[in-house]
Amino acid sequence: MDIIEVKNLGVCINDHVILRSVSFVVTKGQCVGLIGKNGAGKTTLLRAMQGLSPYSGFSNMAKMNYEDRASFVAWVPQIHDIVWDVKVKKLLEFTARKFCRNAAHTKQTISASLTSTNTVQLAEKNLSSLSSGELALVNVARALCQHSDFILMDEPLANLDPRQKSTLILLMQRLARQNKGIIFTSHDMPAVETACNRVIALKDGALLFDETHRIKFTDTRNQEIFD
Amino acid sequence: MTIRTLPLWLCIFAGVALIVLSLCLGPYKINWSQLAYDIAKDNQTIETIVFFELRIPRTIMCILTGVALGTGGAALQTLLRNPLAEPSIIGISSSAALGAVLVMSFQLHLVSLFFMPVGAIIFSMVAASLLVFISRRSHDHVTILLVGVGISLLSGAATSFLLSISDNPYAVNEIVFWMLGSLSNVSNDDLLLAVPFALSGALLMLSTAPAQNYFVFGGEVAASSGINVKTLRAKVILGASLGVGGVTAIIGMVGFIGLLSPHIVRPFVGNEPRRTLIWSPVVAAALVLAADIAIRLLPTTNELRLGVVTTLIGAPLFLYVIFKRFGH
Repeated sequence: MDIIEVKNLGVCINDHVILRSVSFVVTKGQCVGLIGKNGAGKTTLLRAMQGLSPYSGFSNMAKMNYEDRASFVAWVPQIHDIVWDVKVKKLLEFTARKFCRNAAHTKQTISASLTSTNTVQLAEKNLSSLSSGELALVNVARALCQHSDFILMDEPLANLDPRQKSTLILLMQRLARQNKGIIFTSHDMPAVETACNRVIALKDGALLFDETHRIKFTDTRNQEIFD
Repeated sequence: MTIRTLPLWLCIFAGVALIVLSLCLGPYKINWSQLAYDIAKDNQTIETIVFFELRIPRTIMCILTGVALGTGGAALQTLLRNPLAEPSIIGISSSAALGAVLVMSFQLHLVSLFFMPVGAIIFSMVAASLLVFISRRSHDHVTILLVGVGISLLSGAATSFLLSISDNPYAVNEIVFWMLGSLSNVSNDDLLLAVPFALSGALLMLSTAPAQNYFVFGGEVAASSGINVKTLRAKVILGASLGVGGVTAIIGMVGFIGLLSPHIVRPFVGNEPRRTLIWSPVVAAALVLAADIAIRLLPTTNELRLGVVTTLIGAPLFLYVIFKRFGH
């Protein structure tokens, strides 16, 4: 399967509508910025379409079995706490071992993920010793080890310094060129402008617009999204 | 085998030594050449009775207790992403105890001793089913922990209630002593009763070992890495209740082993959840054997209770491990 398909997706928690009737199709090679103000339902949408929370409507990947979904899409949620303090290299190894053909492939995958997220120097460090930005990049590196067709990320740019930010933006652009599909939520409009070749905006749980080309965020547009 | 895990491999040798010690030590001093002679001649003497009816079941029960509690603690801590989790905290031990106490307070164990483990296992299964039911509906690990704490408090209160309304002081005394945990009266019949439950529970939990490592970043990342989190959760909870219910029914409440052993293992395996689960039962079995041997060696008039000793040794050791890891 080459597309992410979501049809009339809705989420309702305790009689409170969080997401209503969202539909779209994302293909490989697209880098989609999912924007909207806080509480617009961005994270809820990403979780529901993977079947990680209760939903109504249709989502093709929520219907897949666990193994198929894992090689179809990787999920990068925001990590707030580290309970088991393993080494960065170990963490990547756990994932890579499962999705790689052999030991050599595993090793090569790990080093490629570390290089492309610019975290090679963190390989021997423990997770608890990382800054939140470093942890966010390691989380992306872990997802890369899954060799999936699509990657979904929740606020991947949130805690990054300018240099880490440009590393991640370049990585996302490169992945899209390598025919992977990416969807990420963000409040960073300049980053979305640079990185994305498609922008989906949510407002109050519904689709506000879906532009399948690069867009510029003018004042009127920002007002439309965030007011 | 690396230098780092060497202490854990040594723990296996220590375990074997402890097994031998456990078979040798006791109030009765076995004459080994006499025993060998009696076994060869198939004689029923005091040597063979002490060895086969007392020492062997007691030693096996020690190992079984360690394995069930050790796997339970490690598996639950990873699954619930909580270093405090252990079978007693999610209500499994205390509901097992409630089941056994219920049997004792109605004097059913005088009819047949088999009622006690049956009662304990039924109650721990009820608690586990409730937990599995909740965990299949909820994606949230905190909910399971809270439900577990609720079950634990409820069964604790029910046990106290049964004790306070009991008009048989002898029964009350017996129940209180049983709840402190002891291995001194384990028979081969007890063992036969506990083994299927404890072993199948431990194996069920160990079967989740390959998937445990995906839980470092939580259940959602595990699910996205291709793990059926709901099934895995059900396996761990069911396994913990079978294992812990099985041993609690026979020997009473044994504290701290489930909590402590994963924390002892972690520094040696770089906090890796899978290897913590694999090594934790080994360390736990060695701990229970050591505690039980200490009980037999200490010159007290009444034999000390296992639950008391494990907690007395376990709590300071636990504090030491925690201070060493988080104290700086």
